[in-house]
Amino acid sequence: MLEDKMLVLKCKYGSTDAMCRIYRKYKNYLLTLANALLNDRPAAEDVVHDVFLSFAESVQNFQLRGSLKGYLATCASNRARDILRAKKRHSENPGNAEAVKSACDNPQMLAMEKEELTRLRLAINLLPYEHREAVVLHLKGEMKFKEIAKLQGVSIGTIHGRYRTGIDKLRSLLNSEVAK
Amino acid sequence: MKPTENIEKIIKGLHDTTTADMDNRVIGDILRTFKNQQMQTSAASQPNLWRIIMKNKITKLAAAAVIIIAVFVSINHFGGNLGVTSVTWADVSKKMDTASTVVFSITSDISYKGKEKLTMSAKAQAYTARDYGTRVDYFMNGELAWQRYKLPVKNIAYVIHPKEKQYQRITLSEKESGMGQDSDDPRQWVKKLLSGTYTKLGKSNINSIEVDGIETKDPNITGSEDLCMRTWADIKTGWPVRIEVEGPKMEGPNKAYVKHVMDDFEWNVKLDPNIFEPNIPSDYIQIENSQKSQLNQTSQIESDKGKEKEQVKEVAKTFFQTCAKEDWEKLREVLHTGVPINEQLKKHMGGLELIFLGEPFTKSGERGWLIH
Repeated sequence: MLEDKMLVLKCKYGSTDAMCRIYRKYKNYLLTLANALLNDRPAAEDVVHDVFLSFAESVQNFQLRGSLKGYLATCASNRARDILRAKKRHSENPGNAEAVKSACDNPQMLAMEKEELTRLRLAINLLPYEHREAVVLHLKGEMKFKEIAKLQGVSIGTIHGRYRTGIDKLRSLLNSEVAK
Repeated sequence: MKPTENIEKIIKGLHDTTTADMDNRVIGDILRTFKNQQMQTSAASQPNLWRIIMKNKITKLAAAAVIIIAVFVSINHFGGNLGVTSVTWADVSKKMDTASTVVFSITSDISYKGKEKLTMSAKAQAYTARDYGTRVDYFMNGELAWQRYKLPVKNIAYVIHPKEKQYQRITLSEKESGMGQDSDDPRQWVKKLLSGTYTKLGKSNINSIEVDGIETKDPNITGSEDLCMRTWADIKTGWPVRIEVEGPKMEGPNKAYVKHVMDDFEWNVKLDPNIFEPNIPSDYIQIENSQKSQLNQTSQIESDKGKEKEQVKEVAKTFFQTCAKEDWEKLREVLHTGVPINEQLKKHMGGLELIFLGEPFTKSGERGWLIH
């Protein structure tokens, strides 16, 4: 926490080294978050790129009130949501089930990741975005329900509900996968 | 699939890693944007901030107090260099201890001062791994002159002379195999330096790296009164950048000026275990060690004085006899050196004869023997 504050301060004073250190510290964390939210590696890379670019642009006036990690995770989540919206607008909405099928059939993807994680990623992708965000940001993003509630502009109770529902849906999705 | 109760655990286990390509692309874009942004804002924003502070009496006083404290702290902690930190040497040693492997270069220059100035230089590539040991490949005039393997796990050391197709196999004693006994390990040099009193050299620049240095001339540490040992470490990373030993020293029977430099360190690199396999070709001949291993010459000094006197007499006799016979292979064994005797040395030492061997004496901390 203190280290992040020092890094941000150094960035404000023009340290490129501090900027690179922030990138190195959080790049994999943000990429994992974005990939879990989008289940699309190139899009997830774009999210990380955009988040850091916007951070570099605004660091001069940036005020770190909470944790830098939380701030970057929120930015990544917002950017991921924008990308999903844009995708929906531009595509014919191929349907979630189709997405699972095509990804499952992709041997390259199955080879790259463990089967278990691949199925989980696909199942996460089938959740409604708000539920997905609550599950991923809480478990992988290590964000508090309070922070996620602020991000989604809803009450903590709603986030609790979305998280629980998300986990239950994942369970049933994975169980049905096993049953198949 | 694991039981679904583990879903939370599996999600926590998700992990994606960026590729080098992505890193280069993103860092390039970030830095470009960052620099552009700075150029646009730096000129305008800072005077405004100062004006805001100076408008209010309280903030003006607070700013003055902050400046005084900052100056005081900087002078005390950073030796007067505002904003630049120095190296914490205990941390450097600790950091080195955590490294499982290190690859580095050694440059050795020895110049003998006599009627004719004679210089010898060797370059070496060294590999040290905590799990295997050390390997040093010495090159002279661009050719592999000799290799030294020290493998404490097997209690064996090898010195291989590829040109002569010969090798020595040395069984290491318990002490030689022990931790912290390897003279080829830079960690031991830094520890040795830090174990005594040392002088701070301040900041310098080595290959565009800002470094902080220390040195010692303590003979208990360097092993000789005039030798100087220095270490330079990167201020930013805390890793050593260069380790130097320099000064006059007795090399065999001659007084020489030596300079050994260890640099180009690469820490925690993945090393192939095969690097530490000597793989001596079957046509190489094993040569005997007339004395104890050259890897631990210091243990000879510990023998009692009477015995040492006799030994020195024997060695001196053998040395001059071999010089008289111009038996250079034997001379190399006597001097415990892996370096082949070159033509200049042969010219100097060829035909030397021992007429009288007197008593030992000490002058300026150097031990000598009266010889005619």
